[in-house]
This record gives sequence, structure tokens and C-alpha cells, in this order.
Amino acid sequence: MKKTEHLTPRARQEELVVRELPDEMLIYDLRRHEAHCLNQTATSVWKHCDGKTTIKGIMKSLAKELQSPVDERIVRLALDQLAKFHLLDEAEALSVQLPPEMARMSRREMMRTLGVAAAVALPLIVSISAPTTAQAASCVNSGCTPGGIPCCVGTCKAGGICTSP
Amino acid sequence: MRRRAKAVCRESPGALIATALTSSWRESSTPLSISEEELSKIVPLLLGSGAGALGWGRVRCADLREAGAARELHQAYRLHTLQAEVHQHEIKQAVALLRLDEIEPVLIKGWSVARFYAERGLRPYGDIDLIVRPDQRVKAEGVLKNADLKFYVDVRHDEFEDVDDQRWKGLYSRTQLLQSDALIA
Repeated sequence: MKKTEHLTPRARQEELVVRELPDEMLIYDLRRHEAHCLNQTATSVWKHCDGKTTIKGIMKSLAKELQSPVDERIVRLALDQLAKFHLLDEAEALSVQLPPEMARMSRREMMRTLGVAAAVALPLIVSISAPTTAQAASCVNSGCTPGGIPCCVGTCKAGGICTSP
Repeated sequence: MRRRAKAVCRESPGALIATALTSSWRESSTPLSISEEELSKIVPLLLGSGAGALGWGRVRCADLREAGAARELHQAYRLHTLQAEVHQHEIKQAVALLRLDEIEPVLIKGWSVARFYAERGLRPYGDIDLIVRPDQRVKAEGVLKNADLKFYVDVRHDEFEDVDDQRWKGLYSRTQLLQSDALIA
């Protein structure tokens, strides 16, 4: 297994549908039928995972891009999350591990440690699920989730088919 | 004698929804100016009718954007935006498969309407609607049935079943051929 300093993580490209918005990135994993939302920091780290750049290199690129110093631990945290959400190449994902002291921390503790006033936000990846109050009959409760995305518009027919109204 | 129209209360859900959706489909719409309480009243209605993303379009630049109810609209926007993206991917696959069997489909309904909105995802749709020549429909259904698509592709549209050759030619002549990139533009 590569030492962490020699790691050159690579962003997974296969079977992902990606949509970049002004302040976040949406990704649909066709393999796992899961939808995720990456904040700007996580997005920037992911985009720098080209399979050739080390963690220190990603850190420097991010600092230049954001015009603000970036703590290496922020990059490691982002990589850890990207690996957990299967957004890195499998081989690289196995090597990405948070240092034990970071792995034990809550997000709040991490913010305190890294400096709440830091210009760079902590990386964040969340799974996207249907909004709770959308659970009128037309959405999640219908049990119809073609491709993993709830049928929030239209009618659910037999066989999990979501048809337009 | 003219009857006076009934006054519509500002607080009625219908009036609030009308306010929330005014110009929501445009590229630049003004921030929504209603109270958090009023927003909470209409969010379930917006979400249930598939207008959550449109509602978010009015809320995202407003002070309301951090409200609990607004977060649900934001989630709907994310979901519908991603759904539109996946649809694009699926449409390209479906069209490519049909063309391999020399079937030329035409996109109708959901996708063809949604593309005129300011952003993909503002106008969500549940499935992908295509029409093909009536004599190719059964073959098209077979091709699509065997494909590993995540969304239902509907080629069965009764209103086009009796269209003869001449009328099909006329219909095709009025369609717009899109480059593959246009599906992701």
C-alpha cells in the first residue's frame, strides 16, 4: 500500500452523472443508484484528483484556487469522504485513511481544530433524498423509485414505472 | 349589472402559490417576499405538485433561503436537477439504441417542454416520451425493453397510431434535429 505522502488519488469517472452548480456539485452514482451533493471544498478536491497529484499537490492547488491557505487535514478529510461515497477509484480509495485523531472528531471539533475562521469551508458530502414534505402520494411513499430517484411527479404504475401526469 | 369579483385573501394558499411561482421559470426572477409561516403553508403543495424546484428559484436569493421549509425546496431542486441530468443520459442511450435498428424517434412532452425553462430540472417529468412511426412501434418497444434503462421510455401514444405516411413525413419535417451535445447543453 502506498504511503500517504505518495498517494495520487484519482476521481472516479465511470457510471457517474455529474451536474455542477454555482456553489455545489450533484452526482448520481449509476452503479449504486445513489445521489450526492458536494460542497465547494469537496468539489474542488475531487476535481484535483487526477491520478497524478499528491495530497500536498492538491493542497497547494486548492490554496491557489481559493486564494487562501489550506490545511492538509482539510484535503485528507475530503478524500476520506470521497472514498466513503465511492467517488474515488477503488484502488486509491483503499489507501485513503484519516489519521486516527481526526477519525474520532465530530464535525464541530474539526471546525474548532482547523479554525472556525478559516476561509475554506470543511468539505461536505451529503446524500440527496426526497424532501420530507414531498411525501404526498406522488412521491416517496408511492414506493416507486426508478433509477433510485423518487417518482415525485406523475404516477407510479406497476413495475416501478414513473409516468408523466 | 357587473358582479364584483371576490377578493382573494393574501393569505389563501392559492394566492401564496401564485405569488411564489410568478416568473419562477425565468432566468432572473425577483426574490420571494413572503413570511416564513406563509412559506411553510405552501411548501407541501409546491413539492407535491412537482413545483418545488420552481419555488426554490424564487427563494434562493431571498432572506427565506435558510428557513427550514426553504431547505426542502432546495432539496427538491437538487433532486429534479439531477433527475434531468440522468434523463439526458438515458435519452442519449435510448436514441442510440433505436437508431442501431434504423428507428428514428422524436422526443415529445416532458423533455421537449422542460428545455425551454431557464434551467433543466425546473420542470420535472417522470418518464421519457418518444414517438416513432406506427409500423416501427412494436420493434421500438422490443429494443427498449431489452435495454438497461433506469427510466421508463414510453413509445405508446395512441394519438399518433393512425398517422399515415404522408402525415409522418410532414411531422418529421417540422421536428428539430439536435446534436448529441444539445442534450447536455
